[in-house]
Amino acid sequence: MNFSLSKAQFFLLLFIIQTGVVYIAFQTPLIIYSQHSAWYVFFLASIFHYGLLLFFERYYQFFFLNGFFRWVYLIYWLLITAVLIAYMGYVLASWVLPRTPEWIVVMMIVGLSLYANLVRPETIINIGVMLIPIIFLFVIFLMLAIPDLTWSNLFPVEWNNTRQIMAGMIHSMYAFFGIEMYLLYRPFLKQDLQVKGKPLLIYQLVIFIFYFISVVFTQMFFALEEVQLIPEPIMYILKSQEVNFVKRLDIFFHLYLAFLVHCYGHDLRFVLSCALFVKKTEASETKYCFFSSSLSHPAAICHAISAH
Amino acid sequence: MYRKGIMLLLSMLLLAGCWDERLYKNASVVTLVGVDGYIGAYKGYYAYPNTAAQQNEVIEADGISPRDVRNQANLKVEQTLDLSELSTILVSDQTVREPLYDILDIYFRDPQNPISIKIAVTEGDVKPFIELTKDLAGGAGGYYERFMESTEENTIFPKLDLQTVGSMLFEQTIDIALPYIQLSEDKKHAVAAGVALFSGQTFTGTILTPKQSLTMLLLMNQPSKQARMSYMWKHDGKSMPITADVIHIKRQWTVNEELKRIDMDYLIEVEIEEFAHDHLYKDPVFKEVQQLIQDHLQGEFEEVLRILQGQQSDTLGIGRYIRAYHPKMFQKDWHAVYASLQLVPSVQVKIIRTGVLR
Repeated sequence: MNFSLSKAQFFLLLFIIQTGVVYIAFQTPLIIYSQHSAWYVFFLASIFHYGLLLFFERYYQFFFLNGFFRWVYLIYWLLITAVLIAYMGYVLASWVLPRTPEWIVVMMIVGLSLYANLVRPETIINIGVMLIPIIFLFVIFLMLAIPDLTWSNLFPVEWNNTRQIMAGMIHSMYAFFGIEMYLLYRPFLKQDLQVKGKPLLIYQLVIFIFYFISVVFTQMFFALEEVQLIPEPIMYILKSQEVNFVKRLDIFFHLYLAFLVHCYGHDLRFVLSCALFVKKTEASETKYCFFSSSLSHPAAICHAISAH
Repeated sequence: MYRKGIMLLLSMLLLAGCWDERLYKNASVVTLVGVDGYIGAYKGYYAYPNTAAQQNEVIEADGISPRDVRNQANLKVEQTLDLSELSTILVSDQTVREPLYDILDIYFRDPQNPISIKIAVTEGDVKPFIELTKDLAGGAGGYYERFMESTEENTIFPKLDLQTVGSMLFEQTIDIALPYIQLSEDKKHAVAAGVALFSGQTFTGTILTPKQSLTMLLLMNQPSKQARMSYMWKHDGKSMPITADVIHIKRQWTVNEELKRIDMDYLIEVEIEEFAHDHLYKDPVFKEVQQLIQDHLQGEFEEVLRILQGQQSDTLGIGRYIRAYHPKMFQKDWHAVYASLQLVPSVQVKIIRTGVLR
């Protein structure tokens, strides 16, 4: 696949792959396991994430997948895509579309994803640009909850509870799911561009703040006992906000998340291209894109059905 | 041709939203709900506007649970009840003697129910409170919503909605105080009668009067747009009313973990809104008035704290504060600890404005 990425395109792709449906759900297990310490455990996890980024940037040119691991990686990504589509289908069915058959919802997400897999690479790369204003709106609407936040929920901070910290670290890492794509995307960056130093730090800060807001807001908005009952806390916060122009803010952002899940789907193409078909023809790549996208759909539907 | 076929098929799929289409014209849009009774024998009241008759219809039903009550009510209406425009829930004072969450669960569980709505406790049965909205041209729920919002602005009711109430119900470290309403003598409108104190999820049976409720909100550092207090000033054998409005509160709590004592220092800045005697520019008068308000507030603070501790109702969120900043002092059975604390309020009042007159 012949294309090159600018710095902005590279980081935008990475941001989209690292956010998505995880953004609405990872806070609950994190807070359940690390209690009041969740926010600083997440802070520690993000330092680890930054370390990984620096590590990847230094050694990415030595990254090579042999034949076996290419297939392992492809299956892994396919399963992740299927699980995320199934989860998004479940979330949409619970929150927004309770009567619409789930297979229709999955078909709509996946159909868009399939389209993205078959068009020119530039289209897929730039599709994320559409999400930028929505990301800003997302954060702005979350800010409406500030008067309802209880600051004392962030304390006491327990530094000596190693078990809590370790469990929290594991659950915090879900937020940075997809970081391995750095290794796959990085070689496509234009040769003369540098990302180490300031650009990488800015990217780290952006993704950290985006996630940190969600953790801190969830912790301050819900009581500890209450958060255990709420699997999608961010959507619940949005639902509890009253605005004049729309009855339910959460519906608006479910669509955004569905779109992000579709983006996961279209990243299949990159996985395929990078991991499997580096030396193969465009025709075989397209054929396998179609095949793998089609495979993720029944997998997602089966997962959705079994979840019920 | 093949492409057009796919486009057509996709367009049909995109009409999938029709499955979840809900039109208000096909539903009885409920704006006010009333709940009486207890688990196994609930009675529910649903008020929805009848646009043809320009008044509100009230449907009454019985059931074993709040959801069952709604199912039973659906049997009596020409169009299914839709609660997505609900704005107020009224619960009788007998019903809240049982855990409040039992009746609220359905509102949190269903994403179509709004959770930024008001909730209040009624004196006695809910029925007369629902029925007084029958002849209103506007929404029944809207009447109570506006009523409660304006009382919140006068710092009588705390600013609460269903979500904040639900959040506090799950916490040991803070209790709720819900708006308590009664009927006027002519039974034609609702009257704010103070707040109903809860300990955990259940109503303690104690009501704070509107004046005590205002004091409680000052203790909570939650003055709203207006927080007015009126006292009689006696001077030279004459009585003169004086009204002050709270402008700003500075609060500082000092905890002594060993003695289990909390010194609660408040600096309250007020504006004089009524004082027909005038002459506040004279230093002795000014100081005397300031001292008078301070003495009254000191007494009221002590009285309200005594009631709250007596009822094991931690509406101030002292538990939250202790858990966060003095975790060693915090215990799981917080209500018992709270009742045994030594709470020592100290109020200092400062008049910072006197209106446009001196």
